[in-house]
Amino acid sequence: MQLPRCFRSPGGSSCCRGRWAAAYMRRSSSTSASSLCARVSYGQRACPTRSVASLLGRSAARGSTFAPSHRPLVNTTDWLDSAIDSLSLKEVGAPALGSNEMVIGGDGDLESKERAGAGAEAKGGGGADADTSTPRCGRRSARRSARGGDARASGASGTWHRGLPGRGGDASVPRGRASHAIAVRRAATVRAGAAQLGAFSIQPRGGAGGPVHMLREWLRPSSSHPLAQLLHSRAADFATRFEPAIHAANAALTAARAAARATGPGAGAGSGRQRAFTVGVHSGSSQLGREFTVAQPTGSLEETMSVCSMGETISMGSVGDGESPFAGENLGGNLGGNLGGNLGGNLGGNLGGNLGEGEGPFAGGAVGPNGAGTGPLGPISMWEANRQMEDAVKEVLAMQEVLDESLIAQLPALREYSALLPAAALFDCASEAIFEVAWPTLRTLYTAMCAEPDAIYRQQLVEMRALLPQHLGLRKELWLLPTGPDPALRAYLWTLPPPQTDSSFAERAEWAERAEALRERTVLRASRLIQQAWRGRACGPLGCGPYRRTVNALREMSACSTPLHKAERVLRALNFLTLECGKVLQAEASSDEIAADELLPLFVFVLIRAQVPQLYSQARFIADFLPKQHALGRHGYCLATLQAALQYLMETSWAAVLQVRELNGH
Amino acid sequence: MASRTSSYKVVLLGEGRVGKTSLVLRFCRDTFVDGQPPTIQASCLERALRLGDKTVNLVIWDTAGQERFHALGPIYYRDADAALLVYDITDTDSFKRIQVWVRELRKMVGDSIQLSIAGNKSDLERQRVVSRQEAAEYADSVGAHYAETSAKQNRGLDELFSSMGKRLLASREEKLGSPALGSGPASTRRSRGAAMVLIDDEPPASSSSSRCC
Repeated sequence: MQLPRCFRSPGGSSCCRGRWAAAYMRRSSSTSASSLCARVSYGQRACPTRSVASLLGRSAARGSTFAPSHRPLVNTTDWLDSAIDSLSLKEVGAPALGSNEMVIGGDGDLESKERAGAGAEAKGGGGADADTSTPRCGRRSARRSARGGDARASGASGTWHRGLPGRGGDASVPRGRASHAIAVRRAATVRAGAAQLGAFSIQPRGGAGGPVHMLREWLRPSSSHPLAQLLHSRAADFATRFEPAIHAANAALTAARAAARATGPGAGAGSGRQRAFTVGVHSGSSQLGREFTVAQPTGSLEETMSVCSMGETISMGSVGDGESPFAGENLGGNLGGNLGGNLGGNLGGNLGGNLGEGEGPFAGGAVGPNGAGTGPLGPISMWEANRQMEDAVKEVLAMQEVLDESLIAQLPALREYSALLPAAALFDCASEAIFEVAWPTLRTLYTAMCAEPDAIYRQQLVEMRALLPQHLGLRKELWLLPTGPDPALRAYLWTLPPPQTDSSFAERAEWAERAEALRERTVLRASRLIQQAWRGRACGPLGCGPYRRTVNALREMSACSTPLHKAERVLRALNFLTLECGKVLQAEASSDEIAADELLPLFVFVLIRAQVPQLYSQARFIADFLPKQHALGRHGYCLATLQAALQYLMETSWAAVLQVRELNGH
Repeated sequence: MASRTSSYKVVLLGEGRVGKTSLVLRFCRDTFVDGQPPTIQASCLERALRLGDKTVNLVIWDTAGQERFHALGPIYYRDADAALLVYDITDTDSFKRIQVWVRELRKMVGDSIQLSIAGNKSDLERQRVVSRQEAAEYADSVGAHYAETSAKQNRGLDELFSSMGKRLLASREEKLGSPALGSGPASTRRSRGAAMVLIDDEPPASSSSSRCC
């Protein structure tokens, strides 16, 4: 799985990890090399074989007395001997070992390699040569290099083999006199044992097992497997077929940019605030580096938010009233940066040239200034209209179908790797491979075709930026009022007007009216205060406001390139939202679950805080390509919630929100 | 083949405070593990029903019932196989709201969707404002199944859902001729672009691992 950059360890921390590993080894000297290796190479991530490896390492290191009862490891030494004998075979990469050792996936290889390399370096560079000798499999070399460093360090400290059984079963190796060779051999022994244990205890946990990894290997561009050939020939056809469409799309976008520039300040008339938006699409390397910032002629304060996602840079200038909640935030921090690399490749070549033709099928549609924004869109029409890229969608779906059929033919071959085939994971893997090659084209098409709704979405983000949970009729517990700034105000807001029992009906009505007016005013004042308190929070790169985990999960969505991964981010976001609400509600001793009645409005609120760029086109992308087997389940539900929240956000005006009388929850 | 599970999408409609969520939570509660952190499980629920030799898997999608989100309904009930409309027997407005939804569903989805109407809070008999006869007649007139339920006392829920499951099975057999074709109506009826392969049917050993809820 492609991990976003924020999940990978940045360059600096691998060194830290190495140091940590060294310290760890010094501290618990009886813990064996393989346990350390597992920790070093996997880092903190969950991994199917990690627990097994560390389990084995520990038990092997302490001798058979500590062997866990559920594992038939009675005669430790014989088993280790056979492991040593088979070591040479394993080192050159026997398929059985390879199939499970690479469970974690290709993307982690490089990372673990550099981590382990750093670990070895921290201990004296013992494993550097081993590291470079086998570039074929990063994980294996990482382990070996870590092992080398490990052995050297232990040879120096001399305490490492205290708990290790010797080859004959005795643990009486002379302390401090172990030669380097023996230490290396021991480490290798334990390591091979861990590998062997991993080989027979491989479990397809969470759908990731040997077959999935083999399939991933088969589908690599460099692979000569028929599946890969099929995929890449289809992908090449796809790219050539939609090349003119991409050119047209880019031309349309360029025209839209020019139009927005020309009509900039006037476009946002109607709400009293002046604003303008420009989309800059920087596809691949050809346009990288251009940035569009719309400067308002009449504004005193300009806030420029540069959002980098999907390989594009959008600069949004919002001018005028200086109470934007998004001041001083930099969204680009965790989203940007990791996209330049994998997006630039295929598309850069296509886009370098003729952007000027503009007569293609997409030239007309995307530029309209406010077609869909003015008229009320029908409930479905918003998602069903604008179907001109149906061809591309059909093409990709057909590609998927063909690949799926071939994959079904390959299932018996995959069955060799594990009796239990995680079918869903296999097909997800195939679909991932398709989107890896089709994503650059699709991204441009979607950006161009959804430029108009995306622009509406961006406008609405600014228009609704003062929206608070109370505006959506949520109960007070979920407002998550900041406790800091004004506790008195908070207390006031939470008190309802006292009931009037002994007064006439007219008096009571008048009182209620006045109380209601007062309360509304207070709520509005409070929300302004809250808005100020929240300024710059919940939106920064660190995301420190309420619902921050939800916001962060949503922002990761732009970095994903397959529909399933994007839907997973939404699922994660919704789960976090429920979790965070559950915490609040438990503290308030009301019911501890929120259902759709509250989930949807809260999600609208969170969407505004999250400021995910081009959310509409991303949602369309998920909706078009979410695999059928997920459409009915939670991913489908999350998609529906996202679409619903988005539609509400895009079709509701701020005035309409304020008109609703249920400002105070009920 | 006869006992194969088929999944159906059931959309849950009803006004904000009629207790639709608690109704479904009550029905699906035994599939929950207590002490789990709350997830969106409260909104997207799944419950398998055993009807004779067949198993019906109901995937229940909760919706936001507030008036202001009314326009978002189609996103949820698109491609639904059944709709469960819940009203509060102590609240006339919620019953009127049901009628709006029924009209809308018939217009947007058509006759293929199975409707069930549930009058919830039947434990509050003394505060009843919508009579049982009125509701039952209305349900008959629109071809819906009617039941009175109480989520609080766990009354009428099994009957409601098993009847829904039976009608879903019957309508599907009628539609397809043979129940063995396809894995679920949601995957056979809608074809966006090219028809997809029903992949979780293919390897027999793995059909249990491909459920996503």
